[in-house]
Amino acid sequence: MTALKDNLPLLLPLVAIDLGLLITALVSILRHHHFRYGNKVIWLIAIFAIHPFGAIAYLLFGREVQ
Amino acid sequence: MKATWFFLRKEGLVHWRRGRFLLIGLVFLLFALESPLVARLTPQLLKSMGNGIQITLPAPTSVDSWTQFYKNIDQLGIFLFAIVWSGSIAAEVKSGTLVNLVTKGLPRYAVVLAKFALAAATWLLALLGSFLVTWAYTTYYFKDALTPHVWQGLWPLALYGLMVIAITLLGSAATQSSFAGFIAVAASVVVMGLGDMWRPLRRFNPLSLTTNALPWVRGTKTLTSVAPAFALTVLITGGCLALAIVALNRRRL
Repeated sequence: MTALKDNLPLLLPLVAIDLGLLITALVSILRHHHFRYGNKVIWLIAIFAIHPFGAIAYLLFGREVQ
Repeated sequence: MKATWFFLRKEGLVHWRRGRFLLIGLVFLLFALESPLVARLTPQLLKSMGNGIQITLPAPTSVDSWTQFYKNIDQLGIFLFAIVWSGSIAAEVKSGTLVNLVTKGLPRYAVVLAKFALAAATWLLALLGSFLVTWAYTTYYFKDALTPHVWQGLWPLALYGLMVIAITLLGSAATQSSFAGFIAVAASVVVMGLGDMWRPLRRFNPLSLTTNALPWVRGTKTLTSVAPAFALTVLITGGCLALAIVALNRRRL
C-alpha cells in the first residue's frame, strides 16, 4: 500500500495517459466503419490485447484519412 | 526559403489535423514517466516473484532511471519517428498532391527540407520534454549524486535522432513503398550494430552516440571519446538529405 502511495505522482499521470489513449482509440473505432488497414474486430482486439501499443498503432495507421 | 516555409506550414497543418503531434507527445510522456517508475518498482516486483527465496537487490538509483529512459527513447521513441515519416514523401508522390505545387513553382528540394525541418523540430521538442519530465521525477525520487552530467547524454541522442529522420526521408524519396523509410532505418541500425562488434570502429560508429549515454551521464567517459562518430553522424545526415533531394528530383510525379 505504501508502495502505491509513494509512486502516486508517477502512476496518476501514467494511468491518465493510458486511459486517454485507450478511450480515444475505442471511441474512434466504434464510430467508424471503414479503416485504412484491418477491420473493426481486429482493432478492438489489438487495442485491448497489446496496450498501449495497439491504441498507438490504431491512431497512427488504422484511422481513415478524412 | 519562402517555398520551404510555405510547404512547412502545409505539413504542420496536415500533421496537426491528424493528431500526430499530440500522439507523439503523449508517447514520449509515457516513456518519461515509465522510466523512473520501472526503476523504482523492479526490485519490489522481483522480490514478490521470488516466492520466499531470499533475493538481495541493491536499492534503485538514478542510474537505473536514466538507463530506462535512454533504452526507451533509442529503442522505441526514435522508431516512432521512422514509422510516422516512413512513407511521407512516397505517399505525396503516389497521391499526386505534389503535381500542382511543383508545376506552380514549388522547388522539389523544399519538400524534403520542409519535411525534415518539421520532423526534426518535433523530435527535438518531444525529446527535450520527456527528458525534463524524467529529470524532475528522477531528482525527486532518487536523491543521489551518481548521475552528475544529465545533459551530456541528451545532445548525442538528439543528433542521432536527426540522422534517423534523414535516413527515413531518403528511403521514402528513393522508393514508392510506404514502408521504405522504416526499412532503411532498420537496415542501417543492423549495419551499425554489426559495426559495433568491431572495437576499433566504435569511435566512428554513429551508434556510439546512443550506447554511451550512461557513461556520459555518470561522468565515466567524456563526449570527446567519440568525436569522430559525431562528425560522421553530421555527414550522414547531410548526405542523406542531399541524396533525398536528388532522388526526388529524378522521380516522375
